This record gives sequence, C-alpha cells and structure tokens, in this order.
Amino acid sequence: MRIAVLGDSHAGSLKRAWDAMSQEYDRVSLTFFAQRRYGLQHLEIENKKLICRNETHAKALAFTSGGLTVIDPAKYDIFLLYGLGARPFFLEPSDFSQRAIDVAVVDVSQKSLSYRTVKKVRAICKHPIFLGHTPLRPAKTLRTDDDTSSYIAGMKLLNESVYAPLNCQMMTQPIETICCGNRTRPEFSVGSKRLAVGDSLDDELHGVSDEMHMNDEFGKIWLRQFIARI
Amino acid sequence: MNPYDEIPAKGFWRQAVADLSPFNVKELWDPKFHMRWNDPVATFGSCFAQHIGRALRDNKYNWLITEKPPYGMSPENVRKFNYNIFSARTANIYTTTLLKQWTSWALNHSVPPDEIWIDKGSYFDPFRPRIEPEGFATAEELFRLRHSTIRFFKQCIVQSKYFVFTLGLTESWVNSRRGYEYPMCPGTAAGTFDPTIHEFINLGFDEVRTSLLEAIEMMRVVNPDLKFLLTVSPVPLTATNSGKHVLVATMQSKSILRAVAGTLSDQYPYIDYFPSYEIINSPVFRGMFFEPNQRNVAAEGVNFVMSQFFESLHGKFGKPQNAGPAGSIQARKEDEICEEELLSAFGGAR
Repeated sequence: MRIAVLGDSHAGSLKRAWDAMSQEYDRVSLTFFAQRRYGLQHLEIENKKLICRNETHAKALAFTSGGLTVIDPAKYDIFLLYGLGARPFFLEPSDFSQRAIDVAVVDVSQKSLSYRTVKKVRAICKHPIFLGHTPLRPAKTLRTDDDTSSYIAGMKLLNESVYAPLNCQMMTQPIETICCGNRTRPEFSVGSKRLAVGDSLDDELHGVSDEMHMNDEFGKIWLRQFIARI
Repeated sequence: MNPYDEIPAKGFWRQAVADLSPFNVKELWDPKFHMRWNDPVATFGSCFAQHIGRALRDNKYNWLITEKPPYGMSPENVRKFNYNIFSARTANIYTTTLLKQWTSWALNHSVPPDEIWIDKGSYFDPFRPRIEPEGFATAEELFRLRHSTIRFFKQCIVQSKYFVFTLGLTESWVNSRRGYEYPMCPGTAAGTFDPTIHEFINLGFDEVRTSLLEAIEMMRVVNPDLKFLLTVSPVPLTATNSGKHVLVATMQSKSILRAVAGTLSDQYPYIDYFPSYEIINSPVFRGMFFEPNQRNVAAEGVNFVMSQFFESLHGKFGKPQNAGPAGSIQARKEDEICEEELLSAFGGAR
C-alpha cells in the first residue's frame, strides 16, 4: 500500500512517528509532502500531477518526501491529507434545525485548505482520499465527562454529507487520545515539535503556549489506527 | 438660597446643552447598578437591542448567549439563522405584552399555542416567522426548536444578573379567538391574514406598564436578584395600522413606551432606564444620527449611544481592567435584523 501524505505542520508528528515505526509495516509505504502553515495552497495541477512552482515550498516538499517535487498519483494507491485546516464536526441534534446543521457542516469543511486540496487531488485521480483533521485542542485538565457521542455523530454526518460524495473519508481521532468528549488528552500536547523542512527550525520544540500541535506519541497512535482501518 | 442653588450643571439646559457641542453633552445617564465585566447580561427586545448585546461583547462584558449556533457555522450563516442576535432565538420582541407572553411560556404560566404556518412545504413559527431563513423542515422540528428556545429564554432569566429590554412598539396583532399575540401581522413575514381572527391592538400606557411589570415580577420570582435595564428603541414605526399619520403614530407609541420606562425606573430600585431614545431623537442632536430616510439609525449613532453607555458606567463605577477601549464599538447598519421593516414592502410606490 503506497500512501501519499499531504500535510501542514501537524504532519510533523506523523512524519517522525513513521520514521520510528515504518519497519513494522513492510507492506505499507508513506511518502510525505508537507510544508508548514499554508504552504500547500501553492500546489497546482499540471498534466494530471500536482506540482509546486513556489521555490520555498517546493523545497519543503522535496525535503519531506526525500527529493520529490511532483506528486504523481500513478505512484500511490491512496492519499492522506492531514491537518491543512480540516476541522471535525460535533452534532448536538436536539437544539438545531436540520437546515442549520446542513449549513454548518458545509461551513466547517469547504473553506479549509484541506477541502481545496481534496478537490485538486480528485481532479487528477480517483484514488481513495482520507483526511485527518487538525487535532482537537488539548484539555487543560481531565474531567470525567468522556462522552464522545457528539464527536462520533458529527464526524459521521460530515462524511456522509461532504466527503463521501468525493470518495473521501475523514478519519476520527483515535478515541484513546480524546478526553472530555471533545479534547485531546493533555499529555499528547507535551513535547510537540516543528515539522522538519530543511531549515533552522526543524524539529524544534513548540513553545509551552502552543495548544495546537501534538507529539510523536500521538502521531504513532494516529497512524496505527489509520493503517489498521484502510 | 433655594433648591436650584444645589443643582449640578447637568440640571441646567444652558450649561448642560445649549453651551455645548452635541458631542460634548455628557452625564445623560446615571446608572443605578454597578454592572461588572463578568456579570451575565441578557438582551432582548426590539431591533435596537441587538446593538447593546454586541457592544457588551466588544467591550469584553459578559453578554449571555444561552442559545448558541451549531459548531462550525460561519459568521454569515450564524446571522442568517438568527443566532447571537439576542441572548436566545426569540427574534425581536417588540412589545411588552410579547415579553410577558414569552416569559409566561418559559415559566410555565401558560402553554405555547400549537399554531403553525405552512408555505411551499416549509413550516413557519408564527412567533418568530423569520427565525429560520427557509422555515422549518417539519412541524415536529418547529415545535421542538420553539421548545428549545423557550428553555434557553428561561435560562436567561435564571442565569443573568441583568436583563436588558428594549421597548419597541405599542401596535401589535393578536389572535382574537385564542388570546395570544404575534410579533408580526399574519400575512406579512409569513402566514395568511384572516380578518375574522387577526385583530389589531394599540397598547396604551396602562397596558404597557402592567404587562411589563408582570413580566418583570414573574422573572424575579425565579431570580429574585435580577435587575432590569430598559431602553426605548429610537427607530420610528415602519408602518402604522392606527389610521393616523405614521409620524404621529410613532410619537404616540414612543411617548408611551418612554413614559412607562421612566416611570418604572423611578418607582423600582431594580429597574433602570438608559436614554438611548433621547440620544438619537432629541432635537439637540438635530437628527444627525439618522440615515437619509429619517428612520434607520446610522452606525455612528449606534456608536455614539453605546459610547455614552460605557462612559457613564465607567465614570460612575470605574473602568474594568479588561474592558475594551471606549469607542471600540463597531456597529454596522447592515447587522441589524428587523422584521418590522418588511412592512415597508406593502407600501409599494404609494
């Protein structure tokens, strides 16, 4: 199984995790094409491939992929788009109209770089596309309310309404990483590092004020679940 | 020596008004209550009340929103679906009798009617016909979400420390057979007008005062510490069914509402009145805050009103450390959602 992983800074935890665990999966290969922030917005379609003409971002893609600057779908079986502003959905159906929910599901997905990248990938191939949303914000403290039903229901609706028609599926964050129903367990935000793209900031620890990125252990759990499900 | 020797400058027209630029007229409001930044404040009422909630939020006060939009909904659709306009999705509550009706439903003094309006396969709530841009998908959904809003409205009563209510209109429409009131004349925003059922009313001073006081007293039974801040919408009527000229009908309506608000504020220690009506409508301000149609209040007018609000509050009680800068209110006229304006469509080219 050859997987192309397109991502932003959040892909850093997956990349380092994969580097440490890839020998466990002799039938799976992952090729990362990642750049921090919104670098992947510069991907363009050319001859049924994705290319990046921006020199800085192209360098990052080459660094993360091991030298590739073109994303050629013929070389992969599936795509994984990780982060890129993709957001999950939470469904509390009792207090909203169906029309309001339908509108919110579209709002939460279609303005993201992730969605725009899905459209680009879909324009060049029919491969299955999987998405990983930006990790849930870490909890400041653990509470006892671990009911994830609104998250599970929301993700199911998001897939049915938005992604399934594109032959695409957003993966749920592994349940064992979630607490308080809609937060990431706080231990996974400790020791997160920057995505390495070949500059002086590579693998630098995020500051303690960073509440967005997760560590390599999170990346391992996420990837193990992903590979098990595909 | 006589009592006028002791009166401060604000009590004299020349010193407080005539000698000053309109923009330097100050001390229009002497707030009764020390509203702190973390005190939950609920806002309901006529169109102009929408600005108060947003100004509270922009100045880092605790605007209480109990009925929140779905996760992820864009700001544009949040407005389109009428979230974050008032503290719950009641839509505009134009009259004091409508406030009493919502309060009565919320506190189980009466049961909401089962009337619904159906148009082209969509279901419309007669008590907030524009709350969903395309109506509800089913009658069951309409009733379920009306019940939710009533529950959220009750949470506002129970959880807030201050209840801001903007009095808007005295003219209204009722179901004469079943005794309940509509916020809009049936057949305008939705529904079908039936002259044998739908009856016009124009509330007088006693009806406005009594219904407002009854609503307030009902709320204070479940929240005895609740305090009220009344304002009167400075926005003239879009249309009148009274048979009078709309300007005359407006003056009658606003005079009654203003008189009730002032009377209750004078009589009850837990009721205050903020003079947004005067700030926009007084001849001192020369109509400068109105847009060319002499009805809609320009963003500058809203900003001026809310600046006066916070300056008065901070001047008396001190500025909260986390409060936003005075004048950070950024009202936008297009933000106001006012179903009553639909009535102008029925004037045509006349």
